[in-house]
Amino acid sequence: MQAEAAVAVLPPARAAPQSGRIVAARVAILLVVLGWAFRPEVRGFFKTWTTASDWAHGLVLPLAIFLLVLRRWAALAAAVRRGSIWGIVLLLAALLVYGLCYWPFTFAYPRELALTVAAAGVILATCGWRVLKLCVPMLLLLLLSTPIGSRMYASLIIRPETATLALTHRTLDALPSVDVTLTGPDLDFRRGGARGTVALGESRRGAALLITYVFIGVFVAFARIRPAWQIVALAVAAVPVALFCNLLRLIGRGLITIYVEPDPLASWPRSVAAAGSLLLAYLLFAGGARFLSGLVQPAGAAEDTDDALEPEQAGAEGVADG
Amino acid sequence: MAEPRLRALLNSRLFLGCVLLLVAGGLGLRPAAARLAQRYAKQPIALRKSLAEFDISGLRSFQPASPRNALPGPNQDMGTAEHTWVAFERRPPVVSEAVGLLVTYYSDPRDKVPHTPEVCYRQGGTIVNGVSDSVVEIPGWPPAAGGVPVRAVDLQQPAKRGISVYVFCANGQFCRDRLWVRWI
Repeated sequence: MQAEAAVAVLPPARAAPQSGRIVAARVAILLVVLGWAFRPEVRGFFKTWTTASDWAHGLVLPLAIFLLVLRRWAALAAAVRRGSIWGIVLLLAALLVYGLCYWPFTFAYPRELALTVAAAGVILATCGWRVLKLCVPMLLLLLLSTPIGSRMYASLIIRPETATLALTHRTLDALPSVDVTLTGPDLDFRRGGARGTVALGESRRGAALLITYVFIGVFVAFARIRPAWQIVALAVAAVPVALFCNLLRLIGRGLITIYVEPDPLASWPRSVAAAGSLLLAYLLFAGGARFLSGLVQPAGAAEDTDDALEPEQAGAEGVADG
Repeated sequence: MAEPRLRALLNSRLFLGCVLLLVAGGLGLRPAAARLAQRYAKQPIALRKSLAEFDISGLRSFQPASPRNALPGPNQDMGTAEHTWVAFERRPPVVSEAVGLLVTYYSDPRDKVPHTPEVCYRQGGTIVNGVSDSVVEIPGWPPAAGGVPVRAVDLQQPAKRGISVYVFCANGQFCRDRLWVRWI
């Protein structure tokens, strides 16, 4: 009798937390269905990623997302909560924008952006707000891999391109025994008896790979779970670093053209300059991130858990799901 | 063994809701948009006067450009049969550079808003030195009308530099922005 009375007084047992595998399976299924629902846009992405060098970083997007998920696996597993109805709202909003951008408006870029918003809605509906917060870097990478229309992109890079060409002209013209003139977009040089044009015939020679540099910056910034202030600092640095690397890319291209004198139609100078600038971008972002991490005292490492939950803490808060 | 797992997998209304929404969207959104576009498609408006009949002699202060001031017209497909290009200059004794006037008219419901010079010329390698907005006042218009909003693009090519000024006119309204004109 006493034992039964004791049982009657105790509160009912809490519901068991939802299985991580079940949640992962749901997310995987939903992402596949999402890709199917947005198949024309996904096909368009792949086509652009494989044909336009400015968007080729999209090809490494799956690997980048996989690595970020791997780095955060423990934090993600601990952060899983009951899904939120706001995820359905977000998904509905994304589908609404998607439909409206077919009719009556024919805006391609918002239609493509709806894919990222829908992905966010799916994560929120399945795993809750904490997981969505941890997935912001992956969604950002997806956003940066969404090709911007050529006309919109051209209007965005007008001023950076003009400034880059002017700075490159000044830099190359300062070289000894080299005369460089900038006429329109053409950087014509003369060194001794040799003459030529830097990046002959390329239409966006003054601004290339800008989004790729920012993509690298986002990946480096979020490769480790960091305090918010470090993320903000790296975000502020992203645009100047991208512009700087673009400038060095063009200067590097100019130096190769002037001193190595490759065939005017050879593609290797472009590839070498691009690869060098991408490596530089990585080193600058990685160096900056390391520097910022070094500013934090060892005791301040507790700040790093802002985005992560200790498993014990997650268990104590309790997890319930239907 | 599989059945309890399947039940656990499907035991979430939010999950099922997402699946339903995505499947419905993937199956129905694009066909629905296509049907609506077909039902509410704009009809072309019959021309009252073709652009080919545009006569520069109506401009009292201007005359067709002389051979030394010749300006080549656009050498690309305009996407419409209704277009005209006129190069003109100020009448003597005023000496001026030639100005080219390109007018295009689109009435096919499938037509897109045309490219603008700062994008079009850039893709051909021209440098855009600057883009600015302005208003061209029209003598004889009431003050309340405010003039015609235009956008000027400063273009630099290897051998020459020029200004291109453009404006859209849709449903009787002038607009200088390629994105905003879609809303008229």
